[in-house]
Formats: sequence, C-alpha cells, structure tokens
Amino acid sequence: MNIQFAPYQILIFLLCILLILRTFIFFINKKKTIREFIVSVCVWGTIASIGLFPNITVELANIIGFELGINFLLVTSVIILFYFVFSQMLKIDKMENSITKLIRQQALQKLKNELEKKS
Amino acid sequence: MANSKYSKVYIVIPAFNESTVIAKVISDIKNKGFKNIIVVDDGSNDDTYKIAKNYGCIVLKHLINRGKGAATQTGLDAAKILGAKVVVTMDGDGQHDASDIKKLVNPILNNKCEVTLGSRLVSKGMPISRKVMNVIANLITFLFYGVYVSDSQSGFRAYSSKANLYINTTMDRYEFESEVLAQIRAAKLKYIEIPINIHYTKYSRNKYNTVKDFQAQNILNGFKIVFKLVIRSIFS
Repeated sequence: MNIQFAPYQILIFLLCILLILRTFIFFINKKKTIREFIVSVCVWGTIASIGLFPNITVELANIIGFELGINFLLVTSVIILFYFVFSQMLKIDKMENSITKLIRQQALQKLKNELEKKS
Repeated sequence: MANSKYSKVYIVIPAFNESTVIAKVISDIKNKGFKNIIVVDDGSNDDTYKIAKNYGCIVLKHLINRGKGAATQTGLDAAKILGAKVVVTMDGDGQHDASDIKKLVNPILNNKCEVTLGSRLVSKGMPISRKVMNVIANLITFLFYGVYVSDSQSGFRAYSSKANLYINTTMDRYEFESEVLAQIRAAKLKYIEIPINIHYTKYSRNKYNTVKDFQAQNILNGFKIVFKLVIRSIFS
C-alpha cells in the first residue's frame, strides 16, 4: 500500500504533534493536569488523524447520515465552538458575580463598622 | 416623624452618576416625611456620594460600578441590618414620584400584602417604544420566571421585612427586576400592583441612552439579556 500525503497534510500533522508536545511539557512541569493533557491529546490527535486520513470523515458522515464528510466536519466544529463560547460566557458570568459579591460585602462591612462605632 | 408609623420605613436609592438630580430626589422624599434614606453609590465618578452624605442619608459605596441590580441588593441588605420594617426601592434619576411612596408602603403596613409593585403603565408620558419594550420584558419574565405582572421592570417597589429576607438576587443589571419577581413567586409572597406616576424628564431619557446599565432598555441589549437567560437556564 503506497500512501502519499499532500504537503498541507504533513503540515497539519506536524503542527498537531508540536501542540501535543507543548501540552506534554506543560504537564511534566505541572502546569496542566492529566485531564487537560488527555483532552489536549484527544483534540489534536483527532485533528491530526483527520488531516492525514480525510476519508475518516466520509465514513463517520455515512454512519451518522450526512451526505458529505465536510458537512459532518462543519457541523461538529460549530457545535464544539458553541459549547466553548457558552462555557466561557458562564465562566465570565461567575467571575462577575464574585466581583459583585466582594464589592457588596465591602460596602456593607463599612456600614457595619460605622454602626459598631456608634454603639 | 420619628414616632410615626413610617419611622421604620427605609428608602433605597441605587445611584450611578446622579449628582445633578440626587439632591432633589432626596429632598422630595424627605418632604414627604421619610427620613431613613439609603443611597447606594454604584461606583460613581461624580459627587453623588458627597451630595447624598451632605443631605444626611446613609450612604454606601460600591468601589466600582456593578449595576443597578447589585446596588439595589446592597441597599436591601443594608436595610435588613438597620432593622427596616418596610423597604422601598426607587430610582435615583428622579423619574419616580416621592408622593407615591405612601401608596406603596401603606398596604404592607396594613398587612394586606408583603410586596407592592409600582406599575408605570397607567401613567401618562411613557414613550411608545418604552411601552412596547415593557410588554416584551413582561412576556420574557413570564416565560423564564412564570410571573406575569403589568410592569415587570419597574424599580419602584416596597417590601416588608419578611419579604426582604427572601430577596437575594444574583443578577447585577437590568435582569434584576425580573429575578426579584421570581423570588417573590418562589417564596409565595403576596404582592399587589399599585399604579404610580412617572416623570420622564430629558435627563432620565438621556440617561437611558448613555449609561451602560440602562442601555438594557434598547432592543439589542434586550436580545443580549434573553440570550443570557437562555444560557443560564441551560448550563447553570
């Protein structure tokens, strides 16, 4: 079996390997947890695999019911991106709530201190 | 006034950069016989704090602007600490009429209900665009919180001390008013709606268009709020 890869496929593969290596170094230096490392390997590993063997998407598309592999890829990417955007929004929301709590507590504490002084 | 039936009534005013009108708002309230006024300066960068202090109010300050909802909740908590029997919340831009305070407070003092909600819809002078926005906001409030009132976004409300114990909101900005309604419903507190007067001055109208918090009244921000509520209900 003679498999030939186009230059862009090799480029994608190398880029993914680099990113996995980078995460691995972070993991070794304890800057990332094992969970984050595994997720990273899965994500970049999948991208590298699809880059090298685009036919995987055709097979997956057939299984799920899409006519074209590219449709499957696009829909999946949009879903994943939406998920990330939503989770980021929630994180920001939580952070905003924490800031508000602090600010409010500080204001109320000042009032309590004033009342204590008076009494 | 100290021994009157209103001596344990506290008025909460969330204020952000209201130095041009806050003095009049406070004076009007005092002239109606209410001396306990809590002004929550929500990170203003003008003299709002100083003016409110000079007028003898209890003034709390947010170090940075956190929104009308956050400021009102701080005021409600402060009223709890101060032992308020009834707490009235009203806007700091002068659109609410101090002579309506008694209309809101009396039903609570007479044990007719725990919460009174000021309703602007009967008042004259409200721009049509605002009326439409209000109807949409009412529907959204009903959809997400299951409460339908004629003016879900009115900031002019009164709470008994019992009701104040249940109000503990997390939404900082415009969504706050709807969240309060949800908590009133969850706690099964009896509420009534009271028609109130509204003064849409050039100042207050202009403020809606310039201050971030009040921009929520425009359509784009309305969408943002709905989007936020959807996300919250799905992911929280």
